[in-house]
Amino acid sequence: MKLNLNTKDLINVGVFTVLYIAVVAVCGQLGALVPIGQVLGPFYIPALAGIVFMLFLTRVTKPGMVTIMGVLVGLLVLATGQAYWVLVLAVILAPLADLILSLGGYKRWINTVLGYIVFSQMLIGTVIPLFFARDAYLARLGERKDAAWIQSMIELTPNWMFAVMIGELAVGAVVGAYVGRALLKKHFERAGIA
Amino acid sequence: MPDSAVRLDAVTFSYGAAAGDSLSDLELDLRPGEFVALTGPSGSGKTTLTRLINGLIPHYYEGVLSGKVLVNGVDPSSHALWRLPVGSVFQNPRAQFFTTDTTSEIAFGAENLGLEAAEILRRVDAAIESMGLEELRDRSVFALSGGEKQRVACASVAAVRPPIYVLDEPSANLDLESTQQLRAIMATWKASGATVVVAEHRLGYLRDLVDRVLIFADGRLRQELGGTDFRRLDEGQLRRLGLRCAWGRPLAVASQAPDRGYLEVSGLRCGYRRVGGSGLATPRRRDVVGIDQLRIPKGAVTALVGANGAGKTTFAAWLGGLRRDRRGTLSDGGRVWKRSERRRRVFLVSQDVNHQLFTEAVSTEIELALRLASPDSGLPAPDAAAIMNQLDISDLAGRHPLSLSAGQKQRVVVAAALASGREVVVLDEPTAGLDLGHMTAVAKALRDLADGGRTVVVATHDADLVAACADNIVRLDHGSLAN
Amino acid sequence: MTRELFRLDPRTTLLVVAVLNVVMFSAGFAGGAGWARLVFMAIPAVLAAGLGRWIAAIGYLTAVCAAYVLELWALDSSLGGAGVIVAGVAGLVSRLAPGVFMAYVAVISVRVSELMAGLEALRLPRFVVIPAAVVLRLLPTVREESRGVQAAMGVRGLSLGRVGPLPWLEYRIIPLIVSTVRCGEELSQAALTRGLGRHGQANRIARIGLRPADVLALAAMAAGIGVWVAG
Repeated sequence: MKLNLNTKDLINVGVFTVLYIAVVAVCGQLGALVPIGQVLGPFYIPALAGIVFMLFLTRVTKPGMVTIMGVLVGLLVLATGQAYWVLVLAVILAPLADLILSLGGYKRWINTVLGYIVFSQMLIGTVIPLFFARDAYLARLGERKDAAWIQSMIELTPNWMFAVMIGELAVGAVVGAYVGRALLKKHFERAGIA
Repeated sequence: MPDSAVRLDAVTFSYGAAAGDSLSDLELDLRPGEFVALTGPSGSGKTTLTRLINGLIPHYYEGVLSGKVLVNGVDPSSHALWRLPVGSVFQNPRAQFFTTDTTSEIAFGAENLGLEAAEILRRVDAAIESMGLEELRDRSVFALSGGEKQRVACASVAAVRPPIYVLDEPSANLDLESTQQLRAIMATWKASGATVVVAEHRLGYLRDLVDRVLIFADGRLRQELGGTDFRRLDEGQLRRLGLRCAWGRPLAVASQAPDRGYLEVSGLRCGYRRVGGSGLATPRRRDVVGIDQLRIPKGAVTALVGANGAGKTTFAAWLGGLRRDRRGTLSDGGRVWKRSERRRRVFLVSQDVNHQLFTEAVSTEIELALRLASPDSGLPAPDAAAIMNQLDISDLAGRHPLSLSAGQKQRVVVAAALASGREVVVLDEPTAGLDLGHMTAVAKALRDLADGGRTVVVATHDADLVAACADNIVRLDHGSLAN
Repeated sequence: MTRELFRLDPRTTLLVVAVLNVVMFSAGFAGGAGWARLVFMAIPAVLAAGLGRWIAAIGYLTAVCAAYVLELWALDSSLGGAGVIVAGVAGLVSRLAPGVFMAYVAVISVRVSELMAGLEALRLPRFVVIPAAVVLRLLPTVREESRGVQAAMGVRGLSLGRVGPLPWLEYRIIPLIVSTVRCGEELSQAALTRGLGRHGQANRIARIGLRPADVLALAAMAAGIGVWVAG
């Protein structure tokens, strides 16, 4: 596949990648201020990052930009000490999201929502080690601990929580798409940057 | 060599959906080696003309273009941007750097052209030498002052050695000294035979350089003056043309402060350091604002003047209670305002007003400020409509604050300050880059604040603003009061 | 300039970031794996100290060592469920912190010009080099803008308590986005008028390549992985 992106597009990708990360960081700030924030993380992060993503889409007309942004976000998350699973998922999910969005010409609403749901799922990578690397983690512990101790550890992180988090991300992404669209109208179009 | 550096034939341009000021029916012929100033109120189309010359129209701003543009004999629309023989310097020194260290930034344009490394280094050295930038070599761009940034931006463009230079309000954020250094750089370009096109509001520093001044209004070229005719204009004539006082004026106050008592600063010691970052050892020079005693007249406008880096911004931030420094007090008739009280009673309008506008409409912005107003100020609290009327922004009530021009934004923030009911309003460079009309409007707003009983402190190097509204001048020099 | 001695080639820096994170999340507790983690915990501290960020380096090292010791202690004592939670939290900190701190070291030490030179030397395409350079260029800017917005909210009295969480977020985020996007547009224009849009090889003058610090960093990483595999 030949990418048909000009320099302006590539700079835009960089700008919105930074903004995506910045908004996630501000979310973290709110999470620290409001106690319930911690639990709802997978929900409100895509819900707020949707503001950046929807504004980004007003600048996307060609395939490739969403993919590059996704991979860059994955790399940045890796560089901030989170697990490399986000990057692995980004490499798979970002092109898929890009494809879904491009089929809607980066305009049609249903594609936008679906694309953003898929894009947001890469964030599940931050908790994958908690669930799937856990067996390996516990196996290593097993050399030093008895079975009852390990059982109590398993109960602290039930597997169904993983499915709940995927669901939370999806619902958060849908909300984020609508929030983003609303703020485009409320702010960005009126401020002259959309 | 073509006989025209820039030739425009019946050119009309509008941005279409994007924001920007259109130009209509422009005829223009600039000779190679000519030094041309473009001026006129903001929104008059002079920035648009710079973009037609440097190719950002149509390569970055698509819009609707008709007529014929020739730059050094070539049509910009049929050549890639990097092939155009034009070097551009922009208004905002902060945003035009692509890299984070000065030497690489100066080399950036030459690097992109794929020149040989040895040739790039030669050109970088030549640019550094001819502009006297030796002490700025290998520095972090984040640790530079506005004037230093603008000189590095000029060097970066010069290293490409274009035959045409285009500058869009390059002095908007500079103090007097930096503006003179910028002038010296442009003089070398002119001497080398290059064509120079500068869009500016304040033409004073270009007085001896210009060969022609083009005055724009409402997207049209209204008047053309030869260099000699331009230099003959007096202040009144300039004002009638809608131009800023062109010939540097001495600082003078507009009126005497009324006797309504004083706020007193005493024993202030406040350290500040220029910010650094990104991969470079930054000079950790620590400067200190030290003010033993200073009286700020209440109900008056005090202008805080001094070169960039003199500590004006630090002092303003301290007044607003944004700094934790414990040494120094601000008192009102012997009663000391602690930091928390300064935060409640002082409204600080910092340099970048874009950070200070939060809502989706001008009227909502004022209402938000009214809702959060300090109840204990004792000043009458007018309603939103009255405030907008006073600042002459009623017709902007429904606009998004971030879509306004710089001068309008300043007035909206001042309106929010008024609505907040704070007794003291501190502003940092409110008229940087403003044209005569907007500067006058901001000056009137500050005058009104003071006449309404508020204490106003404005950090500025705009002599026009000082002359238009200040009652009192305080000069800071390397952090200390100067006489 | 002694600080220059501790600056790595941008490609070495990226390699350290990647390998360090893999090791932190894959290595276990005891024996060689534990030693490997200690080695990798130390690398960013040494780099930061070498760049003159002594306070940050010492603060980080203290925190991460405390977390590491706490994790081992909580696992070895018979504290039951509380021990699991303590070990879990301490383990997370001791594994996350080195990556976060190394990212900080990367951002303060890699220059945009070197990153571009390094990535271009690897023959990576423009669609990798340019966005990556823009990200590194804008990170400090966004942080500065973010602080500006935060300070302005303080001036206006727009605290979380007075306006509520949703308006707070709106005020916090919208001006940040608008000013960063505008900054990006200006950056774009300044870069395009200086030839960034040209396809074809650019010659960069930034100095890259293996320096003594790179050799030491690579050797330290090799040693860390060595003790892990051996032990």
